[in-house]
Amino acid sequence: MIDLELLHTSLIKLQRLRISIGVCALVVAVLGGYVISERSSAYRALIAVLQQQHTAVAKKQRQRAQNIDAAKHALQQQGIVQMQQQRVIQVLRAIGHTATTTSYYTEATTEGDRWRLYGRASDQSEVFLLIAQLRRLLPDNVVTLVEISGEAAAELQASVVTFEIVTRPVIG
Amino acid sequence: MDINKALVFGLFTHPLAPLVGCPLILIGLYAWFLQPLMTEHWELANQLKAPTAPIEWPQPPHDEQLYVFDVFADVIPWIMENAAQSGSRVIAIAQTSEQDGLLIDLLGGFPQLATFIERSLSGTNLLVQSPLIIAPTAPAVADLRVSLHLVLAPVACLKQCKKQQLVAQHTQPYRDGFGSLQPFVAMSGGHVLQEQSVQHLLWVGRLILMADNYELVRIKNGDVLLVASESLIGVEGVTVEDLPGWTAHEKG
Repeated sequence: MIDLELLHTSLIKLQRLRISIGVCALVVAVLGGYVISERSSAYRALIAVLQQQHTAVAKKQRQRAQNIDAAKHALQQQGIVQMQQQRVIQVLRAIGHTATTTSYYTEATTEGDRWRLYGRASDQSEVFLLIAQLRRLLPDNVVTLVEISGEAAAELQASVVTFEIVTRPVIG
Repeated sequence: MDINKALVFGLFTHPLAPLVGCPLILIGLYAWFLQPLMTEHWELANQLKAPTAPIEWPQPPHDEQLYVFDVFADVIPWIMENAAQSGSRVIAIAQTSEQDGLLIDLLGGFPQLATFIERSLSGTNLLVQSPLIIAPTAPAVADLRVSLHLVLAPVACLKQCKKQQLVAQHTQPYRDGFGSLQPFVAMSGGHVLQEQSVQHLLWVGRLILMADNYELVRIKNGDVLLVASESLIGVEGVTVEDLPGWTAHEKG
């Protein structure tokens, strides 16, 4: 029986071992728990700050995107204005470039987007040449001969032809 | 006693069991509380650190930025400057009855008038409204008369549009499209307000601009027109000295 008891740790030793290990484990658990709790609090504070920053950045980005949209819209408006200005300038330049000493304009008026050009030429062929040049110089316009009248072609040298031409942009 | 139950009981009551249990509890606490917070923090920090995609800020080329006029009072000096520089002559300027546009009458040769139009429009938010009329003043007279209706296009102002200075741009010269017209010589004014009697007009002042004299004449509806000093005015075709208000002013 004594031999058998020698094989086992005594109950008192076992109890002491259990208590000491239990105390150690408890201390470790409390310390560990404290560290985890402290780190959690620190992370929560950091996350709150980051979320504030995130909201501010998002707001700034939204504002920036709105500003960019507004700028794009303004540029688009400017583009439309410049295009309308260029249409007028293009026609004025075309009037200057297509006239010759014998075929020229006598009046030019606008009706909305249309230009009505009246003029005079020495013969019909000059009018057609003038229209061809107008079409070349105003590729975005439809150039139409509305009226051509004058003395008969039999008197080409002395004839005076009056004409009326309308140009209108292909795209309104 | 069941052998399995005895084994479990033995494990839990083993003196070294806390050495295993304690780390397990700590790992559990870490995984339950700390890990989600760390992940959230890491994600937020990464989102803030991540470079935002460069957004292309729309910027027009510097020479294409428009100067945006807000009121017609600012347009008139611009018109007068361009008229003087292009060689056209402003006969009258009036506001439309709806106050939404300027009606301008000019005299000159086609190249000068076209240059005036191009220079006035370029770089601004001014638009030509219909009707634009370019016609000879009289069958035998070489000068052309342009009736121009200018409006302000509603253009939103970009950051720099008000800061930049409005400078008249040089344009390529125009060729004369109106035939055998003589080069424009500034004439001593045209005949303006031909449909109104001078009895309904009132001289209100004189404007000297770019070495030219202009008279300010109030018409029947209260609008004030700018008339070249040498012009003949009204149905009667009188000079400015014969307008009501002019003599009184001079005496005063």
